[in-house]
Amino acid sequence: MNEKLIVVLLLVTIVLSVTSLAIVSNITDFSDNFARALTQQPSQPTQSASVGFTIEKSTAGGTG
Amino acid sequence: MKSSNLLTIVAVVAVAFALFNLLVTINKVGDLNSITGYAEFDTGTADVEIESAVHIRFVVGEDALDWGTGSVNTDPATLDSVTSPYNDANWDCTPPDCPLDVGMDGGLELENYGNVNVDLYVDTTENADTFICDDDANCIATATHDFNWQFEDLGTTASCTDKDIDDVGGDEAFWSGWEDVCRSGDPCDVGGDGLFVCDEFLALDTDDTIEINFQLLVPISAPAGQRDVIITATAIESL
Repeated sequence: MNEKLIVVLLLVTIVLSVTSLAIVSNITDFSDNFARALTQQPSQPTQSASVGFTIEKSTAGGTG
Repeated sequence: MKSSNLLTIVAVVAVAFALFNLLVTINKVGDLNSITGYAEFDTGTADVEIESAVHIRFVVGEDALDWGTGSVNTDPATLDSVTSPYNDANWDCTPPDCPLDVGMDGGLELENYGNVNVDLYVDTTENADTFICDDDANCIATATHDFNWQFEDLGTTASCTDKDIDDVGGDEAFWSGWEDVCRSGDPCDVGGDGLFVCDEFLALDTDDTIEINFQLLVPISAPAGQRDVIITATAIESL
């Protein structure tokens, strides 16, 4: 069998192994972050809205 | 370097990585019993604890009111957020500055999108004297001017099951009639949170929204100029 081909396959194995390791390492990190996102979402007990209009000078005679 | 030696080195590295990977995987799998929702027993008990969260918001698109620009032709003019076109015949306006032109389509809609029922308080930064008359002494002393609000329950059954207005003395009636707004710091302002409006503002999907409508009585003597007021809603988890 071609030895170069075997070397390539082993290198691919190493790369896949490292990738797998990185994914597994992140599983519990993801869980921690998810739980933290649930518990640390800030409350929003106060909200504001605006109400407005503009009055122009009246052209009619009024009693005021 | 001979190709057989290179092959041996790469093979050893690959095996070493594989073993290290195996050890880390075993270690991480052992940690999985701490993730959210992990079932500890075969009876199907879910290990999730949801904390209470107080969240209210003005519905997007229903979070601002603007009556545009106009003038009073007969004393007083009435503007409100209930009946289209949202101004009476005593208010002169010219498109594109009339209420409908500037997007008026009803009152402010407030939603409880948290997971607990709340007590609801509402206040404003202005009252009729300061908002309508802009603190003008003549307007305040002599002219009919009002800045009122009204609360409407938009729930399928009821979003507020205990409609409460401490200082007014009524409850359900207040929600259907016009009443003076409550300015922050005025006697109606309970403990600095505003007027106590609802004792049980629910957090149900179909019963979690109320509408706050406004009515303005604007006299001819009201000084010209732009008027703005901030409406603030405060929620406190119901006991």
